[in-house]
Amino acid sequence: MDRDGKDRGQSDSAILQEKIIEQIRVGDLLPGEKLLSERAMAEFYDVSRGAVQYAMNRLVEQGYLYRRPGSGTFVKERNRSVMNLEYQNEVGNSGVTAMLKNAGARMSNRVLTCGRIQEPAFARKLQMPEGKEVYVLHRVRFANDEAFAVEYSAIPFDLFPDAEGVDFSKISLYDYMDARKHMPVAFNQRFKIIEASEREGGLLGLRRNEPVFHFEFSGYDRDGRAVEYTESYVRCDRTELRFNTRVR
Amino acid sequence: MKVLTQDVIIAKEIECRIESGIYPERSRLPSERTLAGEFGVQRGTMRRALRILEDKGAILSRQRSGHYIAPRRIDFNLDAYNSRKAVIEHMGRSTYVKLLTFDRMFITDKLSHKMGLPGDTQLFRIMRLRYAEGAPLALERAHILCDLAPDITEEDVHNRSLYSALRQKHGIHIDRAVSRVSAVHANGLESELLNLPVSRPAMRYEGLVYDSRDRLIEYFDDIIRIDRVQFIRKDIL
Repeated sequence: MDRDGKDRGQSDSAILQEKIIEQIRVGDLLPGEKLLSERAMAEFYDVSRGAVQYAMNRLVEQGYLYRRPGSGTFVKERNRSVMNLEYQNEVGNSGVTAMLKNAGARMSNRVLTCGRIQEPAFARKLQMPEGKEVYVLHRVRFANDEAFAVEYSAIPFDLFPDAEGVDFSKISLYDYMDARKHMPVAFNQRFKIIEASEREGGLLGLRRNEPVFHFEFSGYDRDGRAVEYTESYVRCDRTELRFNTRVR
Repeated sequence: MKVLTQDVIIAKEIECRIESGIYPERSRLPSERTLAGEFGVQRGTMRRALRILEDKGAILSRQRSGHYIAPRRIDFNLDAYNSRKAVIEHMGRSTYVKLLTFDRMFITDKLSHKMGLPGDTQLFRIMRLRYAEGAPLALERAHILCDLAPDITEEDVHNRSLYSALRQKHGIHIDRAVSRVSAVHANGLESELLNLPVSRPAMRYEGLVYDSRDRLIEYFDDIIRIDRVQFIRKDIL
């Protein structure tokens, strides 16, 4: 093949790779779906079979596709966690971690900072008088050793006076709150998608402007007392949110 | 090490002021210098605080004119499904839709998989661009089972509620939706329609919609501007 031909073949295959990745990302190609044969694909995209082959090999290497000998090339099932927003109340446990735990991921976390602060804005979020102290816990959460969420949690210090002595990299915040008889059992929550900031995006290994879920949870114990305010930044690429809604 | 840095704390304080209405939506935020003076911090710290709010979409910066409080997001309630029109108007916002395409088609493989319906199923595919407060909000793609709603026409969905038409013409009462939300990068057409810079993130909101007799009526697949919506649920009022 001459030089030009080779260059064209390589860029054709690069373009084809991108197209397929995009189709997988937007869901035009679904996990488990079979791709066209290499010949059909070459015809469809008007590129050489060599270019198709090259693109397919790269995508298999990169984990987007897999081959089943004798039957073709398929889209790999993605390791996307599903967060079911509806089950949380039934299991009496909420927060991103609890939802993902239900989805079977192995969870761990790293505490970045923690301690008490006396700041009116945080006291207000917990419906406390402005002078009251809150205990703040700032963590990165890992699912199967990959960072998936950055969280800021605030709890009223007077209800959890021994929080400072707890190692929250080992002990779950909810287990601790439960042990102190102030487990959140009802929640107000909201979420939106934002573009990753330098700070939280950086901790999650995201480039700027990549999307990230932003959650806010306000948790109430069984006496209706505000016991938790959490802000959570969750990677979008490994998560989708599901919920059932009824007409009211 | 400090538990939280000043910029994070100040951002939270300003967020509280926005939520409580001290700084109303679309109003101009006091200048960086004024705020830095009020909070007793360096301009650099104040700038970082404003950056946090910008990143969250709580404020918008306008060149040479400072920062403005972002318009309030449309609340989609996780506990109550309703037509988009009802959701937006419930918040006291105006909305209308522009019909882009209306056609009848055989179900595609992908939709057949998603809807669990055989390949010979026919659907009305209705693409509409929804506006809220005069600005593009969402590209709405509805797929309605022709068999259950054969009399739906273009006129029914051109700036009118699809769900009202289903009710009036076919006695179909929308009852529930099984939905999911994910992030996507808007493609060229979507970016253009939604007035977004190319390949910026957008929200994909998909769902299967059932009626009061538990029949699958619709599959929707909407692409929404991320800066204009949020999903909420309240256990405690």
